[in-house]
Amino acid sequence: MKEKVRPVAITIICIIAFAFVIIGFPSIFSPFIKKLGIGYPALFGAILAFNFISLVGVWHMKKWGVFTYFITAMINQSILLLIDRWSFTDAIVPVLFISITYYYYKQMDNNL
Amino acid sequence: MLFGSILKESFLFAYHALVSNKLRTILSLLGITIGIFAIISVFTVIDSLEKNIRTSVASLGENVVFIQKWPWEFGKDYPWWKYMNRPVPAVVELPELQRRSQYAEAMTFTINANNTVKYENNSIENINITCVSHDYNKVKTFELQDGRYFTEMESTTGRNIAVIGDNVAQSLFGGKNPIGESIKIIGRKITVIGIFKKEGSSIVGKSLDDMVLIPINYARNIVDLRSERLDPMVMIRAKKGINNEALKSELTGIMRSIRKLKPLADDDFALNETSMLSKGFDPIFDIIGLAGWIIGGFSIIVGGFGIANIMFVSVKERTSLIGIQKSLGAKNYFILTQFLIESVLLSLLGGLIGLLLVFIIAFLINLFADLGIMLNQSNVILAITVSVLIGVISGFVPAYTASQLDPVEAMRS
Repeated sequence: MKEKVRPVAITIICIIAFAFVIIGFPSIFSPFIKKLGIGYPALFGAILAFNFISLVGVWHMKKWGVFTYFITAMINQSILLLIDRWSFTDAIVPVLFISITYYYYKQMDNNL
Repeated sequence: MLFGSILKESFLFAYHALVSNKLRTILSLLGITIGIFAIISVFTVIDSLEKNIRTSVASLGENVVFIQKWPWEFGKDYPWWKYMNRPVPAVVELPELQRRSQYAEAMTFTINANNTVKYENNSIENINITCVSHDYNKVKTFELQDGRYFTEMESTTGRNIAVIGDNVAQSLFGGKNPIGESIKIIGRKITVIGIFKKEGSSIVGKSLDDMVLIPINYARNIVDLRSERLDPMVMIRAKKGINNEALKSELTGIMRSIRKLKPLADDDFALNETSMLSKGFDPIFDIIGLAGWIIGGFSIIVGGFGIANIMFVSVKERTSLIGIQKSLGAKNYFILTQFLIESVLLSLLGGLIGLLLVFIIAFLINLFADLGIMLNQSNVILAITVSVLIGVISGFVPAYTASQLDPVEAMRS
């Protein structure tokens, strides 16, 4: 099966999002997250893992990647709001990512 | 059901792949082992020390305020020159404080000296002699293993009696019962009337095990109660339902009035509380935690790259096998799960070995040094979480690549 051609905008936003995942990875076992509670490192870890998986999907122009990213971004933002750690800057990358991927959504592949 | 059987089959595939390449498996999980070991050992040491400090601080009394000359402050901007000329708390200030305070449950005046304690031919040097007014037992929490505390009459008249710590009793008397025996401090005979229950070592403050407690009214015959060297202080326990802030506010007013300070004059006393001590340790723990986090974080990332690399090699090696599996009807998600489980297993194994190392080292440290270092539940969960996570992240791309292989092309390779 031939892979769909990835637009430049998707490539750029994926690279930015990948960088955020790598930067964000050490934060899940940071003393700050650990102090929030016993389950928070696991929770943020799971979000980060799904975020990464969704990026791989979007990189390969798969629709499931966009779905997964949207759901994990929503969960992440909700948790940040619930623990009173949400800030405007936290939402910039997800909003940008979802907007760009939504624009190219019809060009993406339905298969796994 | 289907998911369960896929998971089981994938697990068996992954298990055989790992077992058939033992050396490669060990080498690739080493990075994760080192990373988890670095992070969890630092967190374990910090958590254990923090717990020990908080327990020691709590034993001093969480709702107790200490009136002293010097404040318990930390940091480079400590204005010591302001505090130098302050007077030390005086024993005569105690009755006035007791009369005026509405929020205090009990208060006691104490001084601390270090001296040699003797019994017959036995002696121990540098023992903490704490001289206290009567209500010490209402301010400080302790239990006696034998004997009794001072009566009010004994405290008021200043009888030559003492309550001694367990270590002091063991060192001076061995197996003999110390109650009723006389010990000697600065050549004075003092009768032992009680023994503190063994408390164990304390990181903050002095342990009761190494203490000799005598009435302040007896001590005034031997030492100068106004000597700064003896660290005179008044300890005040708040009534139930009264917080330390309210008590401190009241005490500030009373002390300023007792010392006749003008309205604009600074306080010439410090009101200390135990929370100030634990707060003083927070920056130290933060720095150690940060260092452990950075070192361990980098090790884990490097370990993750190692696992990703080995998974790519694994996919390359088994390309024809993947082709056969796919041609026989294996779905993409089955191939994906198979490689993903292999990667998670590899990483989890590395993490568990790291945890085991931390556990063994903590056990050995406790065996030889008794520092109370314990691997706690939150650190175990953290280690497992990080291991699984790094397994998923580093294994997903190779697994996805494998799942997307064309069966014909794969079989040809």
